[in-house]
Amino acid sequence: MSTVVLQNIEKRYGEHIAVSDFNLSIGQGELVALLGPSGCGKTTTLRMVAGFVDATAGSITFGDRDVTLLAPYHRNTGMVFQSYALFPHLNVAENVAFGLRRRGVSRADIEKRVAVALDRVRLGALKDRMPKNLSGGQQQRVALARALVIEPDVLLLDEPLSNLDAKLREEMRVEIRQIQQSLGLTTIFVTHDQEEALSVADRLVVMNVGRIEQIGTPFELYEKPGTEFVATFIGGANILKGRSEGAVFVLADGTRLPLAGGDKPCSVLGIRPERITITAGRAAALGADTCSLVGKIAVRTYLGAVVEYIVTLASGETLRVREQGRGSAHDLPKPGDAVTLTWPAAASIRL
Amino acid sequence: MGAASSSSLASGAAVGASRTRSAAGRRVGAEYLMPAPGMLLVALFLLLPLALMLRFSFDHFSPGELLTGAFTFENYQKFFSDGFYQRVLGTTVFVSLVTTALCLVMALPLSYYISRLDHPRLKSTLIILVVLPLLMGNAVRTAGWMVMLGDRGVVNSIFVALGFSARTILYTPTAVIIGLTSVLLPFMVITLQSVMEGIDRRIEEAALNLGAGPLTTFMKVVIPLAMPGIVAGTVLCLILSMNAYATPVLIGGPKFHMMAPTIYDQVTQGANWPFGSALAFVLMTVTVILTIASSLVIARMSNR
Amino acid sequence: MSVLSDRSLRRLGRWSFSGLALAIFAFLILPLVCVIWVAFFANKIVSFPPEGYTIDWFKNALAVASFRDGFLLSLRVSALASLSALALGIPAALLIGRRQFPGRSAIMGLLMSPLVVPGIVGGAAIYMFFIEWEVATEIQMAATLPGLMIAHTVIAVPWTMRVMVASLVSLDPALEEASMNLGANRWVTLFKVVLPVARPAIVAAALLSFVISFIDLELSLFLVGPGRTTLPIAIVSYLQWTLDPTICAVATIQIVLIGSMLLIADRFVSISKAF
Repeated sequence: MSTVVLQNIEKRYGEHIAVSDFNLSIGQGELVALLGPSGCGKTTTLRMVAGFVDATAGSITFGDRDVTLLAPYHRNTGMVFQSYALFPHLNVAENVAFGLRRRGVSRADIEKRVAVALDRVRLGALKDRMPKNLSGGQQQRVALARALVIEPDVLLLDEPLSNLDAKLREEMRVEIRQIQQSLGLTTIFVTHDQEEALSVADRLVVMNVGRIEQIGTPFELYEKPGTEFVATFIGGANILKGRSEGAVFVLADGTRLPLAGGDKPCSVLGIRPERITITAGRAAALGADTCSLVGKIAVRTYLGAVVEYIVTLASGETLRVREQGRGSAHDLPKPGDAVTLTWPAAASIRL
Repeated sequence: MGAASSSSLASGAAVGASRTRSAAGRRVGAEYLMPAPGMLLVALFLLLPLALMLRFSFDHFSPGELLTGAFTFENYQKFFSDGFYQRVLGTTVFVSLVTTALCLVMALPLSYYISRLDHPRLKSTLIILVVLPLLMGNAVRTAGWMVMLGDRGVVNSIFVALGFSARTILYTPTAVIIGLTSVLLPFMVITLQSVMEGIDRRIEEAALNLGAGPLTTFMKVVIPLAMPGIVAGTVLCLILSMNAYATPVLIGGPKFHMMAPTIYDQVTQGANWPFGSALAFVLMTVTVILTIASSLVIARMSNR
Repeated sequence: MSVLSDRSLRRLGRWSFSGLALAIFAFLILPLVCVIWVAFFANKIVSFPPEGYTIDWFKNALAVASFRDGFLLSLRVSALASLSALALGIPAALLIGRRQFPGRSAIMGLLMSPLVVPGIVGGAAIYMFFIEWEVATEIQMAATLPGLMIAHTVIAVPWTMRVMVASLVSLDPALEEASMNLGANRWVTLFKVVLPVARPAIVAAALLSFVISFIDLELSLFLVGPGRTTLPIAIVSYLQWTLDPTICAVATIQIVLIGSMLLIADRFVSISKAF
């Protein structure tokens, strides 16, 4: 295991810039998730670390080893592919042994290490199966064992869970995290699923059109998003535009909302849908540090644990509001109802 | 652990790092030479001979001599002034058009039937049984039709058993067309079947749902959607029937003349290479014109 | 009022459609079935129905020198042509099936071009070329085994390419990346991953090339020599004079040989995909 440092990484294809200004330093045993919409450059970045894509500028180091110019087969990374890429002509044990063979490990050692690796992913009993006779979840474990057994400097996971069904995905997520932590593996995890990234990563790197938007812990990214993109991409914040005048935020139609925490000027506010309270009719007396807006319910979606409303404001903008279920359908506001939306000033995120 | 394994990698790494700045993409240049031997073979032993043949078709024929070095149109003039060869070409075109049309008419129901079979094993068995005759070779398949159509063959025996008199079928143009149709039908079936396989069944169900009967659905929905396959199959059948050798020679008999056997006789028996070459290029040109024309006709029919 | 309900009409239509399809199918298969049938007839002159059955014609067939020698020559030529086509076709397919690059379709077009050149035209052209070659270099090519083998390799290469490229195109590129990621360089990846995974296609390509070479008639017509004839040519020259159970026995031998090779090949890669 070792630290991984990516410095000023850039990848261009002719005029097209796939990744640029990418700086990231990953501590030993840390799991970092690269998160972003498709085409944001996260997979390209991962493939540059693996060596399948040549960076056009910058450097990549594993510990004190500069691997920027190394071929993929000299890098000692362990990668789990989205399609798993199990060798269809080799059985489970031979798949796992493949990397050890290439390293000239002795036959007896190979057998031992393969057995350990397969036990770790609870597949010891299936070592003679061919990949095509395995379920998706089992294939994914073989792929993981194959990447782990070579003791890679860094474990690379390329959307490893996207081909699994929802229930299995959650199980594997936990399992991968446990194995990663128990072995102290430095890991890069690429995903487009924000929930997956939040739940599994020590730190997240949110990418958009080839650039890093923000790096931080799940908590930091959710509670203190640095940009409008991050605020909406993670957790789907509502966006209000306007300008700040001291401790007050003025919307385009003149509505004034109190701001908390300093005078730093801003022109965009983000509000999480679950921080907003919805009240039928006009709200009574409000505290000085409570924001409020009136509107009409356009759509109500019942999702079981929560109820989601889309509320149209007087200005024509819409806000999403998420509320805990109330246990009774009667007192839920209906589409067409006039409602007041309130939230504490501290819940407004300055962007 | 892992010290042993990563150290062996590290030594490889040192070698790797001394090369130019390219990790994944290095040493790709040599890869592009891989098709070269095959291309060389095809170029040297097919394209070059064809070029030589083209040159020969403009050469003057003098018995006992190879390339005389002359440049003349006399071989093509000979073709266009001699009624015999024009009749041979006419027969060839006629037989090819009829054969191709028959193949199309017969292949449409058969390939549709195969493509809509629900039973996967039966389907793959039928497909194999369509492909197998194709790869049995023209000699063997033509022998089959001689057994069928001979004076005492299967067909005549059935005629006699039914109380009709036996008749001569072998060595007639009809026999050639029957034989050739059977030889080329698999090409059409395979081509159409693979296209029809790709037609979403729900489109047909939509047509049925909208009140079209099965036959109307087939004519107005399946056939237009299978048009790329119909064109491809037609072109293939035309090319192959224009150039057919074994069937006309064996089933047509010595008095029946088509282009391919005539070319063979000119080049080998007559040793008239210039004229044989000219015939070959006339045949290829007419074939190309015919395939283009038939594609256009089919395309126009389908646009209506 | 119709006496038939909609449902029974549809059932009738479906049955008659199946009947029509199967009749067309019979048209395709029947000649081969008849050849095999006649090969076992007791009577020497072909007439139906037979007077009895025998297997003597198979012994007879093997006794005819032109058939025996033709069969052996065809086996040799086809085996050599099939191997040469693999040797030339696999490297080409490895590039074309796995990489996108400018000129890819031009290279593929060149390698597939033997498919669109009619056999008689190609055969005549190669024949004249070989004679010219012989005049220029005094090395005989026409009517020799190498000459025949080269020509057959030319027509087998496109079929090898079709099967191999189809297989390699569908190869998950991540397999090669996984191999390199685990420490295998390009050569090791080629021999430990790509070729083993493509093995079914290689077997199928070899068998199909063999068959294509074995059944070739038109090209070979020009390139065989006296006493050096392939089996299909021996069959055709015999058929020009006689149709008897002996020739049907020969044809049956070819049908069984080719049929079993194709069925084996089909177990590896669906043959109909090669068309």
